[in-house]
Amino acid sequence: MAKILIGPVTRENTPMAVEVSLANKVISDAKIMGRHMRGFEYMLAGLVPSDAPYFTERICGICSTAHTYASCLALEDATTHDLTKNGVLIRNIIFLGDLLQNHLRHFYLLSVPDYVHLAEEPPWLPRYTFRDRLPSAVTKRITANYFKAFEVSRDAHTLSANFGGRTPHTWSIQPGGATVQPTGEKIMRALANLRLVKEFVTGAYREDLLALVEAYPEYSEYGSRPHNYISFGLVRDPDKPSEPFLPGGAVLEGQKEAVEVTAISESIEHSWYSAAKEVEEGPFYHRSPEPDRQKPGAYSFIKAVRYKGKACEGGPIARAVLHGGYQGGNAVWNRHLARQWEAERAVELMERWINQLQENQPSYVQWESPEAGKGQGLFDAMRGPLGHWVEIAGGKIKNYTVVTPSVWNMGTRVGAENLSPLEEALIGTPIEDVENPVEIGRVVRSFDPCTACAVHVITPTRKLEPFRIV
Amino acid sequence: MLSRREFIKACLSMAAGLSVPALSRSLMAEAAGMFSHKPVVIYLEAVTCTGDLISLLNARDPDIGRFIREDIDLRYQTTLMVAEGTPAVNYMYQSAEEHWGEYILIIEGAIPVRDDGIFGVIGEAENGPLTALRAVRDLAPGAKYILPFGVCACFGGQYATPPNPSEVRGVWAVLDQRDKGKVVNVSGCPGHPDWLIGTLTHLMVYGMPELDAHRRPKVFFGRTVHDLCPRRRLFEQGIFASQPGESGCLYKIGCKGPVAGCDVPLRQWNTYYHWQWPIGCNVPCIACTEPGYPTAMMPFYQHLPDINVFGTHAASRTIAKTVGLGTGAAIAGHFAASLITRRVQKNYRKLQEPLPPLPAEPTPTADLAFGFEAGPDLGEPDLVVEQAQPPVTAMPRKEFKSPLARQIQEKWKEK
Ligand code: SF4
Ligand code: SF4
Repeated sequence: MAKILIGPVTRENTPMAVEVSLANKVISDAKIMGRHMRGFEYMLAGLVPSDAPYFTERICGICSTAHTYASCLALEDATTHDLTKNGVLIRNIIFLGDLLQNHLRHFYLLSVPDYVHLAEEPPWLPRYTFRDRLPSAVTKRITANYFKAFEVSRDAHTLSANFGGRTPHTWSIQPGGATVQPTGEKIMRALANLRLVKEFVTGAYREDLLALVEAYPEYSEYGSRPHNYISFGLVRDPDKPSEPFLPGGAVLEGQKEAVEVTAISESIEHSWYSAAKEVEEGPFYHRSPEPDRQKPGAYSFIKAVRYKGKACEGGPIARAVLHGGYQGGNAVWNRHLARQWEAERAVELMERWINQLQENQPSYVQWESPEAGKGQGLFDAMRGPLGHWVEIAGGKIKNYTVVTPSVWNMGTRVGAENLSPLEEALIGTPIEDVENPVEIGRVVRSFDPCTACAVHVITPTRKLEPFRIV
Repeated sequence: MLSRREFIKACLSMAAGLSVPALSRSLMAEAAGMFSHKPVVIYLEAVTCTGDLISLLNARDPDIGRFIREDIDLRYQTTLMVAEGTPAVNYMYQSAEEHWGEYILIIEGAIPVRDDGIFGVIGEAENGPLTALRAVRDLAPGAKYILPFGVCACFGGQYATPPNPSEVRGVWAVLDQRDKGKVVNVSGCPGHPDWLIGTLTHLMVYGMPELDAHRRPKVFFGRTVHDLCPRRRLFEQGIFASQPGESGCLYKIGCKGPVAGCDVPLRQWNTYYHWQWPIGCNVPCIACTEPGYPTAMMPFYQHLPDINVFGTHAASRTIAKTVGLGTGAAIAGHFAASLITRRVQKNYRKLQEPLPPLPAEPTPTADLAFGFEAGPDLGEPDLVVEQAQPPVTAMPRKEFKSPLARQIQEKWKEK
């Protein structure tokens, strides 16, 4: 049986590796491997709780606002704390600006090069040998939009920075609200940025995506998997800050239900860790297991997380199923289309919310850290559900656990059969030319993968041997 | 073509309507005749959150897409490049070989050194997994300049926080002695696009810029946030914010501006609007450009215990020297002795190999009315930048309630 190992899988946030097995030129098995580590949760233990939002946003540079937001929710959950409407609105706007930036960069900068011959010089060369099926006029248009996307995605990020003070690694999202006042100047600048972004999202982004869908019809089938999804809910409701604006939920074989945190389990069976208990159940107020690089059968630093034992996919497509009445398939193009659909919805929400900001009303209420307490922050990041769990004792952080979207989407398997969503999606994809396996990257990138957040929880204890894949 | 002096002056002043990328691009275009080809750049992502690249993508006027296409020859950058897998790694090595001695190596993220770096595998080379450590050591000897980008790459930063499980180091610390001289640290968390593009341009057109004690270009890191801060006047008057979100000086709720070598108060983030930086958002500066960040700067919100408001210059300079924080002269007194000695001595020393010794202490030109020293000497005498805020002798004084403010007032009375 032939195997293909791709490392690094480029054009995703922090490279990972993927290994696929082929049977008759069709992928019969796939393993996603996160192979570097940082160990955030161990660093967080012992810190002052109010440092956590700044600290955790450095988990990921492309979705930093999601981590700050979730971290603030966890801290606010550990006490009783009221937020002002302005505070929630500002946080939501900052996050949605970041989401737009993410979706635009994901499509143009990361995905388009898989299908289009952009330019004949590095870094667009070298590339796999594949036929660009688009008419040359369309290739030209998409290439121009690719370069335009550098500008527009930057403007989307600026939209966040108008209130967040900086992106990535924003300043003003704090437990207690947002520390900036929504002045007229900020509002006008944000609306101006939004206009530019809206034009691009509803115009070029949609057109270019549809052109690709038409030219590469097989990707309306490649990458499909069972219809199990999960979401923790998108942003918070400005009128009821304790509730998500778009409620979360799980979909198991097409059936919708509310998420019960206790039904989430995290397994280390195929990950490089060992602990007395291989499976932990939510909520996750416990210390992380010790790593074990020699563990037989393990292949990644990423753990596996399941809802009621099922691998559930998060991200725009899960939210489209839960909130957009979407019932179609979940192949490569469906994921991209859901992302574009979500970008348009985000623009609409932003227009509404920016106009609801009240100039002279407070946006921040000081938050006092409790001496002891527990809190959870459940939130949907751009690419799926994100959970922060904090336990405070003696005024310091005792335990801090982060379960990220990438652990949901591209973790390891449980048992031999229960694969992670990305592994499931890869299986069955035909590879036309093993020398130029362009199909693998196309399926992988439809998930908007990001290992920056997936491999953050490790404490090595023993000497490791450099390893090799056969 | 602009002289070196004029270029530095422009970068220092951030005169209205001027953007470093625009300036850099026209300079590079003018200087293109000096080179036979566009500068070859290899950009490695080690153990990183990719925040520095995302920050670079936010460069404006012009956008970075054009910069990449027209001004540099970017051979390896895992988030943008089209090639993937072993072919991409091979291409990186092949490019390095072709341009041995002349390429610019940019590195983002920290380098794990534990067990020969196996905790940071960044790709698959022909002969097995490629660790960040190996990639840096392979590529450094052939690089003309090495630019660690972001505080993690410069000094270990975020991922070196104790217990530092994968034993990460800054790039400088893992290099061979002979390669250390090529390092120009472009710090920050994340780094500012102007800093990287400006430094790159300086290197290409004029050669090595003037560096501070931590090998950062003085033009961007030579002055402190406190020196340039628009709230400096409030500091001097003792008008302090008591919680985030207020518009006073944030010193009492943990501002690390006095030890942060960084020109962001002039430059701002993203669009250069005046509130796009921490203090503009009413939260304290966390000194993300400094070695020892974040450990030495936490708790971010803790007021630095103030023992003796003025008259502690000597002490604070000694502290700065001991722990390698700030450039000594830049510290306007009263940085918490206890915070630094307790936390930093415990953790900081473990984290960081010391950089080259700090320079001899410049003679302070004290502003007698307030006991502040002028900004550090930037080496080019006619370039000393105007003090951000003029002395505020004419400002009205009132009775303060906070003990710190009262102390300041007492001092005034004495003078
Ligand atoms: S310096 Fe900051 S932005 Fe850069 S890799 Fe480190 S944490 Fe991320
Ligand atoms: S302490 Fe901070 S806020 Fe106050 S003047 Fe200095 S830099 Fe500005």
